[in-house]
Amino acid sequence: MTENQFTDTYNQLYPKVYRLCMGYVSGDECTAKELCQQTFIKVWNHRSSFKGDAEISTWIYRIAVNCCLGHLKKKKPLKLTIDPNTVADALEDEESPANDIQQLYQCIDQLKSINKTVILLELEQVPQEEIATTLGYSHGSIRTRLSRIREALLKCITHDR
Amino acid sequence: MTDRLDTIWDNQTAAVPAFLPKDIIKMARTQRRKQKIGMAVMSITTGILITYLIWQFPKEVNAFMIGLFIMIASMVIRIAIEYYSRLRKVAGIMQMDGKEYLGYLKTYYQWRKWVHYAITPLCFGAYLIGLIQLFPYFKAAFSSGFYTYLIVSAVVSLSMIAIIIIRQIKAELKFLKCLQF
Repeated sequence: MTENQFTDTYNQLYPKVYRLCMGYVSGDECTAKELCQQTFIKVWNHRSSFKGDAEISTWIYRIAVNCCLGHLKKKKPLKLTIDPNTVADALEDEESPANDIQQLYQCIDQLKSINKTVILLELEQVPQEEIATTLGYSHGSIRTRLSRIREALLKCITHDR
Repeated sequence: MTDRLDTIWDNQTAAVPAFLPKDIIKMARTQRRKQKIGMAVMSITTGILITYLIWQFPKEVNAFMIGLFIMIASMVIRIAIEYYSRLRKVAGIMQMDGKEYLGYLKTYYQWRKWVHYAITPLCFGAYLIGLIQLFPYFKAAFSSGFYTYLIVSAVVSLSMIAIIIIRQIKAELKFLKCLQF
């Protein structure tokens, strides 16, 4: 992989890898950036180990997924502070995309590690066969899992609303 | 099939890369260089220690030399284990799929548990024993004020190192507990 090829791959895949990491760490931007950085540093340092027998995206997703799976979580307790002046605004904003995504992050966080990565890759529109290769499961198993996870997440975001 | 989850997910604001690709390459090169330097320093130190042990140690055995040797050896052993652990983890990231890697992480952290509960206390204890061997020589060589300073700084720095090690052990054990299969 030359520097130019790396640059193209980085620009193309960074947003997807970043959102995957964001979903994995419940929207913690700093940690997501750190995980992304770790992923692409590994991609560059180990570029010679990519044999080209799969898509480069599959290889990079696998590194990103493993970085996320091996990340030692430093969970901070959620601090809820209620300011009476902002309650009205908050109620108006309840349906805002920012709230929705936070809620979705929280629901995803309740899933098992592997299920988290399955749904995050699916939401990034990674083909199911590629998800199966990345995670080491059969296509059928991924399909079944996805349907269960989607159902659980839909219930979770509806229930939390 | 698109549902509400996809809509919410796609409504996220676009991610702007935190670094330029050339910065990532630069960081990657720095990391590699540091790893190589670390490996070289460790290999040279180990080489010197072994040479010293074979050729010089029997000729001038005293408590100071023994203490110094124990301290350096325990530190080198512990650093080498840490280094090897990290290399193993990175190798796992690069070579395994998600399912294999999760299984590997469980074994890895079980092994780390053994390192934390057996090897680390042993190395720490050996380091302490080595350090204690040196104090009579320090007492004889330095003023009482400086000797007291050495004792206080040794206690403070070792306590801080112990706290850092305990925190890391706790974080890793918590992570091991969280690994779900």
